Amino acid sequence: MEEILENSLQFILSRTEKKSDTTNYSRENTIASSESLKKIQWALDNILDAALIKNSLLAEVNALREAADQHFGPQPEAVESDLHRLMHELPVNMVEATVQLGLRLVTNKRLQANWYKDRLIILINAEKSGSTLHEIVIRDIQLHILKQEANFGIQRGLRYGPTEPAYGTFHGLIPLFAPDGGILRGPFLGHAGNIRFVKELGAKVTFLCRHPADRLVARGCMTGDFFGLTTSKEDVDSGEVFSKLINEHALPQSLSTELHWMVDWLEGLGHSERFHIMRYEDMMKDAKAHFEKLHKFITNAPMSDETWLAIQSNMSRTSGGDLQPGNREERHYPKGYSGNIGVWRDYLSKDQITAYNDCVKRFVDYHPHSDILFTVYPDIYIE
Amino acid sequence: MGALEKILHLGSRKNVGQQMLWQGDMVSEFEPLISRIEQDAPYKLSIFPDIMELKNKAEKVFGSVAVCSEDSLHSNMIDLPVTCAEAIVQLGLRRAVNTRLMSGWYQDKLFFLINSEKSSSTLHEIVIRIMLKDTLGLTENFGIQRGLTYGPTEIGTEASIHGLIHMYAPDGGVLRSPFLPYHGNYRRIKILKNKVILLTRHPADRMVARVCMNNDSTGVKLFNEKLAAGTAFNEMFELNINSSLRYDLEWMSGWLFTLKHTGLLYQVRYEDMLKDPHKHFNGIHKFLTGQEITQSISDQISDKMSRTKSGGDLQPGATKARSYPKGYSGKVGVWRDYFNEKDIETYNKIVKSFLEYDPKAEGLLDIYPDLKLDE
Repeated sequence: MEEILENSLQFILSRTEKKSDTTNYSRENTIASSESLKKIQWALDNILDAALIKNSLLAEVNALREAADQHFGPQPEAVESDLHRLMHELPVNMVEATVQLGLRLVTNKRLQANWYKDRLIILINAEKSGSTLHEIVIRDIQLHILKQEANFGIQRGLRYGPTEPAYGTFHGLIPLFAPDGGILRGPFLGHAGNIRFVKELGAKVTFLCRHPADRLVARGCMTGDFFGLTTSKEDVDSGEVFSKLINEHALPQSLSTELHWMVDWLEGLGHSERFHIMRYEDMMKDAKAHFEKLHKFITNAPMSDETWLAIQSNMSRTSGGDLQPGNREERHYPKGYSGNIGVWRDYLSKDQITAYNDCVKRFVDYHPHSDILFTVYPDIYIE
Repeated sequence: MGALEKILHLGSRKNVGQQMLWQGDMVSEFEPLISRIEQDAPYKLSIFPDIMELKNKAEKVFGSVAVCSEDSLHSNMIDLPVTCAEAIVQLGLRRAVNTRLMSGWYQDKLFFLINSEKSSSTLHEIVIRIMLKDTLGLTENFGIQRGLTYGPTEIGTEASIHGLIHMYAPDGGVLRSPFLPYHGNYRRIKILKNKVILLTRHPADRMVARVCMNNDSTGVKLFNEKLAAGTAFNEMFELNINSSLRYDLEWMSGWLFTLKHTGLLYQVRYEDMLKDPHKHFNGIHKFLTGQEITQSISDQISDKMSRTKSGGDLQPGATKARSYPKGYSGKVGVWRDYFNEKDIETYNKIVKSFLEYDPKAEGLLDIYPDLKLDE
């Protein structure tokens, strides 16, 4: 099974690794053959037949890919560029188109049967709140308890999962990224369209947040150039980056955006039984209780000792360990590790604390549903 | 049947698996045609005839398909499922669009009309299409349309300039929507260098017009009852819905701030259109084409304007179910006729707190100095 998974993932992910000029499309590679077409037809039929019977269609999709490969011959690879990072659905070659056709048909059939109800988890998170660990834990729970294979699906040049094509928006092709179910993680925005989309998708939603003051510090310590925020280690040393995150509301990483994000989701879905709120602080305080609740939400069953041991093992590998995502060279912690609770005390100046509180107050005064923030973080104002 | 429907009239999704009847070597004929479309795309003004050829060929192989039933589509996942014929057409479109994107083809051929509802966006879309056709020689939009009720934004839940958006206008044109001003959208606009027309209307008047927009007699009855009770506008103040006052303020302020200095934004007001239509539309024409508007286009605009007013044949939506118990909601300053004292107080309170909350929101006052209502 591992070999099939490996082969399939290699095929799907290989689009991200190679560069070529897709405009030089070779028509000589196409060898017309009724037999090979029949194999494609057979593979498509097979996928559709198995859609509601089998938990994983990896083997069927792999067979479709092989049939398409055989029929269409060598194909141009996807292009990596800023443009294609935004428009990663373009271009597409014949084999990809065939595989996507199969995936579209099958995800549609499963959607209509509400198949994803207990098989797809959406992890909505802000950066620097332990989301990589949570994704790993949820995948492990799905794999070992629900017997779901790891995600597979279309991946074309993405660096940050299925949210990249629409920047925080659930889009119409998102089930193609996890046709067998699994977990989709992203800093999805809580706007009305997304909330409606989640309901139609029928997936369970886990919402992971962290105290905005601590998260702001952790995000500031992550130097580099991301979405309009360019910071250096000197900016962290001087504290300038924290001022930016507090005062520059247009930045997607800003305090203002985060407050909005939290309230929008809590207001929009907080009342739903299929929505599970998780706080980073609760994980740090009592990890077993935290993950027990998550386990119950996903499986409707209590967590076993064995699962808890596996989670503990992953937890020890995240803080500065080999499971830390991103480029650790660009992290800078001149006043201690930013994963600690209350780390804002070590990093924010008096003026910044005042500015933070002012920003929170302005938001609270403005937003008619801001009260909901205090139910999750009664200590949202800092002293 | 319009051009949009002609390009892809779709089959029932219910038995899509049974429609896949591969017919021998005919499939292999697609590839040379698709390659030709791809290679020619940057040098042609329209690939419509080529895409029609591809569509006809695909239908010969996979069988002609009946018009799609709206009920069988997912409202938020319109790309699922897809028939074989559609997949082939979309493959051709994707490859052509990609080559055009890579050569910067769309920079002066594709425009975004970003609008909120009830600001005369249908008229603006129609007028911009006329301008593009008459002055730039661009034919009408065509592209994938799969049971959409509100244009190409539905795939990204009405908010997103998503990775397949060019498929809705592969030959360029105008794409209209209430896109949200979040970072992904404006980053995309900056990289693609597409010009944006931002169409705004005074939030108080727009609220009134939006609430008057009911779809059936039950809605009208409820609206009249609420209006009599003084609660008709409560939801528009409080809820996190696409049409609320908060949404409108954040939406306008966000776009004005983020695109202000890019040279890509042209902001127009509904109120200015009513005051001086020629000046208003001439500004748009110059922004889009670099030229003064022609008399012929002005005449066409005058004709369309009269037909988009209340009762006109170009009014979109369920116009017969609209109800204006205190006068037509298209009037400037109509809030005076509909808002009660409490409405005005609530409105002003939200506007005031928004201006205090969002430092960049001051740009709103440049456009609407009368944003706060006289009490």
